[in-house]
Amino acid sequence: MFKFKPLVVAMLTVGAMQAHADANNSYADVDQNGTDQRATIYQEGRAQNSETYQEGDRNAVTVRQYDRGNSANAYQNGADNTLVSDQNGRGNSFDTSSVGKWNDITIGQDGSYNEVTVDQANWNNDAVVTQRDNFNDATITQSGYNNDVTIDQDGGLFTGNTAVAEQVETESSKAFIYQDGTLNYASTYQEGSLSSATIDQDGGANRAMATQTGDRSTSTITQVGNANAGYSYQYGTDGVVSIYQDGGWVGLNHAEATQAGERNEASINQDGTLNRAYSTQGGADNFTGIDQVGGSNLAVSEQSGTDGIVDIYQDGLFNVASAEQGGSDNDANIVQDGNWNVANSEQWGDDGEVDIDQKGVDHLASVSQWGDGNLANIYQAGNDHTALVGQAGNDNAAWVNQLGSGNFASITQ
Amino acid sequence: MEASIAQRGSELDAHINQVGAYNEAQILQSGFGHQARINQFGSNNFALIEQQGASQTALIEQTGSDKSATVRQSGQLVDVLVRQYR
Repeated sequence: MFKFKPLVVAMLTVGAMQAHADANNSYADVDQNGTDQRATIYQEGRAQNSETYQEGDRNAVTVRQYDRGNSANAYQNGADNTLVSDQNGRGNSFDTSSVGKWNDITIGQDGSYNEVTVDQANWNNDAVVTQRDNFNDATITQSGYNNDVTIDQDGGLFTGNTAVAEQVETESSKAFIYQDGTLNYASTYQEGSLSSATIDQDGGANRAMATQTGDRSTSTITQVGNANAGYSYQYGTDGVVSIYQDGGWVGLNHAEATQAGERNEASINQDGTLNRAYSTQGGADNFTGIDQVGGSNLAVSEQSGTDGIVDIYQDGLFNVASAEQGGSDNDANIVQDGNWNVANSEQWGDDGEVDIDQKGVDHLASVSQWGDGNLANIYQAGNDHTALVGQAGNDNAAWVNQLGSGNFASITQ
Repeated sequence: MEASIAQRGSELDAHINQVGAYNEAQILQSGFGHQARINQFGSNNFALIEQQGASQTALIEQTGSDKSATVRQSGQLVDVLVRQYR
């Protein structure tokens, strides 16, 4: 665009004075009003600041800042606008907001202690933030439907990055957060139906939280490493929550899924030892599946409502599984392979069913049911098992099958 | 040192080049197809370009400390480039 003609109509040259070359305290301000506009700002040095304001459609802003302590602000109002920013250095910040549809924002920061704040209003907008190095913050807020957020943070051993994505008054919006390193925090908050949240964390001592309000939403948290924590909250119907945690030999991971509404599904998969999985669901026709491979794990499921299903599978030693259900027509299934495991199920309501299947040695299975028409079924293969069934009510049935020696069974009705 | 250019018409070019400290430059253009360029080499510089109309381009290049560049454009197909070096 900048092909200046050889003929210069007006040119002033002022003689040389002191030509200092200092790196600091620059300021660039661009204000554009119209369509098909383009603004490019390039700044080298420290403590530099740029401000860009564009009003209209099909506008573009590019900001590049090099060195530390720089800040940039950009505002776009209109449709089909794009913003691209690169900041290279530490202690930089970028603050931008856009109003309009089909706007794209791409921000990259390379360095530590950097900050990005993005605010987008209207629909079909995309915001992508990439941060490299440690102790960076990214916060993206979008309002409107069919918006996408992607935050990618990659640091070293002690990363300490924070990523927050909020999508409100929305529908069919998506949030993706990828973090690599330790001591990171990722949070997504989505207010609207058909939302999707994906959080991937690779490293230890990370924390992920996904909150969704609305129907038919899905959230997926994947964490690889030790001492990670994943929390997922859904308020609405037909939602799906998935939490995957792979901790190697010593996991020490914590997974927690909470859902309120009907026809929701929670799935927790954990590999490693010393893991904890909790699922809490309120409403009818809900499903919880917990799968743990490793020893000394804990799985706890609580359901209140009718027609709920809980499936818990544990493979390893010294595992504990607990399923508590309040309401009628609920089912609990617990399968444990290994030794010295404990399975406990409690049901309050009518027409419930509990199935416990244990293989190995020295397991404990316990079933308590309060109500009418309930069924308890315990199968134990191996030696030195204990099976306890207590039922209060009418038309209940209890089955205990034990294969092996040194087993004990008790049924109280 | 201060330099100022004001132009009205179409397809006009303006170029201010300043070398030294404490400089100030401004270019005001209205019309169509203008090009404005300010080069400043030194400290404590200030550059201002204001363009009204379509198909305008503006360029500011600065080196030194305390650089300040301001561009205001209204119209279609306008383009601005600000470069501030160490």
